[in-house]
Amino acid sequence: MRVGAAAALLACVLALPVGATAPPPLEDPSELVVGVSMPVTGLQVGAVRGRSVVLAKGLEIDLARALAKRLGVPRVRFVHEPLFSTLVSGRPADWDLALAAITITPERARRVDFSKPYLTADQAVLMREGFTPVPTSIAALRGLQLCSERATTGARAIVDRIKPTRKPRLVANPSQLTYDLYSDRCDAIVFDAPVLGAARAAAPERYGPFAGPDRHARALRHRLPEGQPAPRERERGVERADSRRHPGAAAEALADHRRRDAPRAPLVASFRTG
Amino acid sequence: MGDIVGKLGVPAALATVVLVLAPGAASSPSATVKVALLQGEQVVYVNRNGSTLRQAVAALLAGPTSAERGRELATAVPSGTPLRAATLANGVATVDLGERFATGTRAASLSARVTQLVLTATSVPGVNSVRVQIKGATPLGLFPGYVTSRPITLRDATRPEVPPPGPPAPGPPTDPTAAVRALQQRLADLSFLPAEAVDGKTGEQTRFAVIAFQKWQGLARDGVAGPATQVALASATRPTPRTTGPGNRFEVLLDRQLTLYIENGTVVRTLHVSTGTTGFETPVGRYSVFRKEVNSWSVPYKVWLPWASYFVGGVAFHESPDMPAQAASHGCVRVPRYDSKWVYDHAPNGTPVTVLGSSR
Repeated sequence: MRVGAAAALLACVLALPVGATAPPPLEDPSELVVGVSMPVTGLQVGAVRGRSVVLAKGLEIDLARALAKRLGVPRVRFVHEPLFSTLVSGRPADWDLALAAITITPERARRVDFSKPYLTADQAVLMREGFTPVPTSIAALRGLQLCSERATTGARAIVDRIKPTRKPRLVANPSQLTYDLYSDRCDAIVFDAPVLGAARAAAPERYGPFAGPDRHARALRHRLPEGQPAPRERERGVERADSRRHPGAAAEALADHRRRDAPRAPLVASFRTG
Repeated sequence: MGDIVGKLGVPAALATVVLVLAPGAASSPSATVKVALLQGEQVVYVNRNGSTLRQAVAALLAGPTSAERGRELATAVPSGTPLRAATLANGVATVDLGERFATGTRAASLSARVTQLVLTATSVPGVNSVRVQIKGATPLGLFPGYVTSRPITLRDATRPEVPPPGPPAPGPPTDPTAAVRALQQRLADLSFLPAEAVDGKTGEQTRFAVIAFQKWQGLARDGVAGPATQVALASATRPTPRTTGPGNRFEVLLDRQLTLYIENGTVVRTLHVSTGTTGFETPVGRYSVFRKEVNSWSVPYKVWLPWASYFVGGVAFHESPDMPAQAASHGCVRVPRYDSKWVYDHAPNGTPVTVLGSSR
């Protein structure tokens, strides 16, 4: 998330004509066709041949399947859109709905019908493995070696919200950032929650506690140990934010994702402190 | 065992790859293919009968032989992965594998299996790069650290992705106390802490020394000098070598997760280490240090290994920021950052290293 960009939201996008009073029927009532634009770590990865998706994994993949189940549609088929912009172009598409991490802008909202966001890409704090004592407040972060990517919301959050007493270390890219944390060049990194959540889920032995998001500077006081269920408030929030025609499906998918295999659900884990 | 660089003519970044030839297997180079397996933090080549790309990949998918597993050679390729097709055109090998190849969520394993595939395929004459396919399709985001939408070269698979690490960040400042100083002095007297680390300040180095002592005594490994640890400290004596031998040498005690540095029969340092976890066991035996690198790049796992002293295949003493009280490595002997340079300095080429499964 670059500084200056509008708040980035991970939004479930429905391919509905703007102004429609009811969702259009599926092209094929026995199949829900879902547009994706791979890869997005943790959300949607897989293997594609042309636009055909032959293997799909990730939170949004499971979310699509949960939506289909709720609709009573027996099959789900994914269609890859190599150009992300196609998802929000408003042009006729061969999918019933698309799932993607999209910044909702007024211009885009005129072209396609967005659902409410089901996840928000807020900032989070990831501690290095073995660091003690684990901070329990924003103030406790101030004396640590904090790191982020240059010119990002994370870098700005360090300066504006944490106000560190030590000069933060700002690096070129997320790979360098997580490596610096793993190799003890940083005590903690502040960055997009989905990225940190995915990194920790992929290599949990390399990192310490996940303490995010830090929205409103409250996160660390709400830090939960790994594996603890999401707060009920978050569950209800997801329920409310679900698409208008499939109430409850997003929450089901998120909860099911976490139950089945917590390490595969970095985003759920990421937002459990919300 | 030899330097692979000259033999295969690959870039210098591959200097950390170790070539292991199965006894008697190299009599006819034209009838063998090289298969990239894992040992410690590095790739090890073994020979197999065959000469084609398909034979090489099939041999990789078959995994290590039982004899090789006995030498702690491993693979990150899931067993039973089907080979759908392997073709070669214009120097680009296209290898189409079953979905099983993408099984799992561990980034290290997913990355390592692609590394093995690329190193195996590019060892076949005429192969310059490898296009990986899953069920005939292009993987997108399935293998962390790799862009699989285009063919992968040997250089892609072996070059370091990030610059070597700089010095670690200092720990948070603490005030010294007499009690901590006394604890540290006792640990230093018993060889678990270097004398220069006795400063009265709490910190990770002291915690690791306490863990090392607890490992030696068979106590719970929590790094806290609680009542049981204090009682044991009061009556403890300096550890003694488990084997005999002249001069300066190391013993790695797998059951205790400790390393002893011994000078002329006396244990000078007792170090908290973490060795190979299940499936990646550190091989038991008598070895000697044969290669040293201040910063060694782990080709399969794509991390730097500071202060590396290799003593068998891809198995080395090296610094690691991840130092649990149990075995957790891919076969190497992880050393805390406080001791890693010291170990490096005390392990010149030729230094004997004895790895023991049992030290009781």
